[in-house]
Amino acid sequence: MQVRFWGTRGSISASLSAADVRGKVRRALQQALAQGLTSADDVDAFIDNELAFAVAGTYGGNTSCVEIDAGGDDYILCDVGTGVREFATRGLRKSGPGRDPVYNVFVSHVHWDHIMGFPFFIPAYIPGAKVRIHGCHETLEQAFRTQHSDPNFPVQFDDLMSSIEFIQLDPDQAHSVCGVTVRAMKQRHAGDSFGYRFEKDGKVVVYATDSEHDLGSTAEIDDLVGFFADADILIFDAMYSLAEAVSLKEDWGHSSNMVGVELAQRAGVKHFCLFHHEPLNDDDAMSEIVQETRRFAELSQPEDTVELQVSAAYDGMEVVL
Amino acid sequence: MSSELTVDVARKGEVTVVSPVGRIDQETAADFQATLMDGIREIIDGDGHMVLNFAGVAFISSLGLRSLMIGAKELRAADRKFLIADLTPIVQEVFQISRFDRVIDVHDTLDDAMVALVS
Repeated sequence: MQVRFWGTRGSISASLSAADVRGKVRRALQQALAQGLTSADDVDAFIDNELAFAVAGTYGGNTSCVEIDAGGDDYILCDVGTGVREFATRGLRKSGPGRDPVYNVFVSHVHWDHIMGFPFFIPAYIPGAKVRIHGCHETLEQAFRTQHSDPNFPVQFDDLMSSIEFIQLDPDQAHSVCGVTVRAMKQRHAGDSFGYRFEKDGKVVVYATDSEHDLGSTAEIDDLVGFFADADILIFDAMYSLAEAVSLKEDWGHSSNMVGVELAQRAGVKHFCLFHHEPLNDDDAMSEIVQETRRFAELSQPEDTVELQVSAAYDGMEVVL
Repeated sequence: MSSELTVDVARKGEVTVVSPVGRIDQETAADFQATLMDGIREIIDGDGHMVLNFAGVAFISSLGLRSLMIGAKELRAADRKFLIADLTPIVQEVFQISRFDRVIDVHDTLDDAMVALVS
């Protein structure tokens, strides 16, 4: 399986400003001046090997949208935040003449940042395209219809020309989609959210965003560890610092990098991926958080366990499992 | 990495000094929090403040940090002080990573914390 991140930002999209870009260019040029670069290859190598990611790239600003590519002819997407516009623009590898893919969307919950990209999801406008929207909330269809209605958006839901089906999932049962076994788990978030565990051919992807964790509840933590067990990648809502999550922003429905690392280590996860980034955090802040999270994983690693791989998702990141 | 923790509680004038020694983690945090809250209730029912002497703490997990936040909130609500002193280098790192160094009153030494209480 492959995982492609089309939107990784939490709560609201966050674009780079002209000043942000200028700052990156300035830092890159300052470093480049000392290098004596003479060829395009030198420039590419310098960008790829010498510049920090926060200078050469960006974590991106689109809200949640993650593609799970399990092979086959159909698509699986987790959430349709603003990142789905990028997916529909650049990611339709399985679409085109003579092809008839199904677009399967799994919705964690219907808060705005997780569905706000759907009005810009081009396949929804294409006659005959098949869109299946899976979710555990009774309000799933209502939320999409409301978004596609006056005064929110000029195109009414019933005017969309694709075939759109809403599929209510039972979180207590396993489901099979595109040859992938999918399980859902209710999470602690205003109005509830649901994490999804995707399994195929011995590979496991867990998408667990918009979830707060009650550290004092042994039963809740044990359930989470079971849901995350042996995941090849755990995509985890690490929006806040631990201090924020247990003080000012307690009950705001989001978790932290430290809690994620501890849960991942208990569950035997291989790759822990920070997700749903705080929009206030710029690229330098994000890079600092990644480094700190790696360090905490070292400090908290249980004896006789394999080192946890730690990364922060960015818009455009691909992970091959 | 077995988790062992002992917690000494002593009264120095108006100040309750809590001195944990060992790891405050998933295995030990519940007992640590129970001891902490016993001391906090005595302070709230009587008088004084609390200082945690962390010189002997080798590691603290998110659950342990949560205990500190609960204790700090309780005492602040009662207009009492909650200070931590003498972090070991690893615990200091964890405080920075968690950003607890921005929300908890941390002092370099126990003496510094005691002085801060009277100043």
